[in-house]
Amino acid sequence: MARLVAFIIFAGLWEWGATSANSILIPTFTETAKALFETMFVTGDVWPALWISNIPMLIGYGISVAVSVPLGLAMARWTVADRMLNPITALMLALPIAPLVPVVLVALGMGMTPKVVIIILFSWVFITTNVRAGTRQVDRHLVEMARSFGASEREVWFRILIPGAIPAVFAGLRIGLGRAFAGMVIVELIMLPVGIGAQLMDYRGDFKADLLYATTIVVVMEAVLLAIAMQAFERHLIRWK
Amino acid sequence: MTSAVQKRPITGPEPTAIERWLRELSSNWGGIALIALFWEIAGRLLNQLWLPPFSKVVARLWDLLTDGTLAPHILSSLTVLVTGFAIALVFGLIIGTLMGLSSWVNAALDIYVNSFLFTPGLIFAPILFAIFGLSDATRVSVVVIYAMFIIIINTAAAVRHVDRPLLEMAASYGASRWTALVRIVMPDAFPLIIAGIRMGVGRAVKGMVNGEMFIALIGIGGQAAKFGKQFDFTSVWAISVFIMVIAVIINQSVSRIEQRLTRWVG
Repeated sequence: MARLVAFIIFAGLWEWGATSANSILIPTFTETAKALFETMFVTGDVWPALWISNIPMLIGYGISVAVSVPLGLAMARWTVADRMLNPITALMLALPIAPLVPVVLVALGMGMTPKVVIIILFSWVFITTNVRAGTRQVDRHLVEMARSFGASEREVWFRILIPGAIPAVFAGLRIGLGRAFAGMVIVELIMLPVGIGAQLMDYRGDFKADLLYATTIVVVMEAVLLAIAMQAFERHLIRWK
Repeated sequence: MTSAVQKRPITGPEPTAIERWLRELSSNWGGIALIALFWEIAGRLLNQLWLPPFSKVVARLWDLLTDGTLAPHILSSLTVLVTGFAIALVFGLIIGTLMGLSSWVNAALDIYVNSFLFTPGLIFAPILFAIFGLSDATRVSVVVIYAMFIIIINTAAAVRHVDRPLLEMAASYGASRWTALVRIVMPDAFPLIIAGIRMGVGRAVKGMVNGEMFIALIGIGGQAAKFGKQFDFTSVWAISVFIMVIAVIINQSVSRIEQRLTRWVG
């Protein structure tokens, strides 16, 4: 009920604001809704662009997860790994990636590789630090006790560390996916206009404001759906455990 | 395999704050110095355009800072950052408090607030650019979008979880709603709200840099974009290192203020 009222107020304000602004670059709510329907179901223009944008994102995120989760676990378990990697993660957390995009492009050339690498750069450190922090919260005494009762390293991992670390690992995966998605959007908007980024810039250049807004809404919907899916997956796994 | 548990001798003095700080400094700064050294060697051996040695990057940063190239852009960026963050803070606190106090407002707005939080803020840059053009309003609104929603979420959660019995007791002693808000809700919710503000600051800096990279004309990010297009990678690295240092300084100061305020209120 509250949601419906809020939506009506929001749509009404938009409609009224856009009509009174009367600008070619500010579409009304109804125009945007119409364009959204068109680009999704009539012309289907948004899907190929979304697909082009998502391929490097998914590859980059996959590699990032495969590398960062073991790194985070290793940092939590072994002081040596922690000592070695801590300065790197501390620097990477603070290093802005966006300005370095042209550096990666020149280093790796055109094509898919630089985009994948940029997405990895955007996401890996957030996954590693979250996994490390969560796994460190697993009770140290439990590990010590298991060792003194003769548990092998393998048993420590599979019986204590990994089950205890699962919530943190998933938090890391969720944050990492958000970062990978942000990387995809940022790369396309500031450097390599392909896929969705190119479409947005074209619509803006051609004054197709309704399609510009509609395509933006599609990207927002994808981000929200990914977040909801990750949360549902997380809840499911934790309950199952 | 020895366990990683840090064991302190039972007797003997506790390490003082200065000792701890020195130890932290030596471990992390030692690592950072090693990375810088590695960078220097790799830069000289590989001899690639995209990886200038660290010493050259530092020298270039010094030049950019002293010859006045960066100064106006730094000023412009910081103005945008402060303006955008101030707007995000005011609206974030007001909307967050309303969402925390009223379940109606919360139900009405939570979809939008969460959607904005999940979505990378830069996606709105083309729309904002279409509305505001090259004026500072474009960059300011990108900063607002980056920073505001985490402040809203944390404030709402903090206010919602204020101790209910405490509120009821205050009401039964005749405290007005306003008094209750100022004297009970705010102090109780304070730590979580401040944590949201700290995250908001970090996001604001990102929004500033990304928004400026998008417009590619003004501000520190704009300079980085310009140098990137000119293949002047020594300057790109110099600006990236500079942004990183600024981000760390801002982050550290906010954490320090957070600690002090939390201790003072608690």
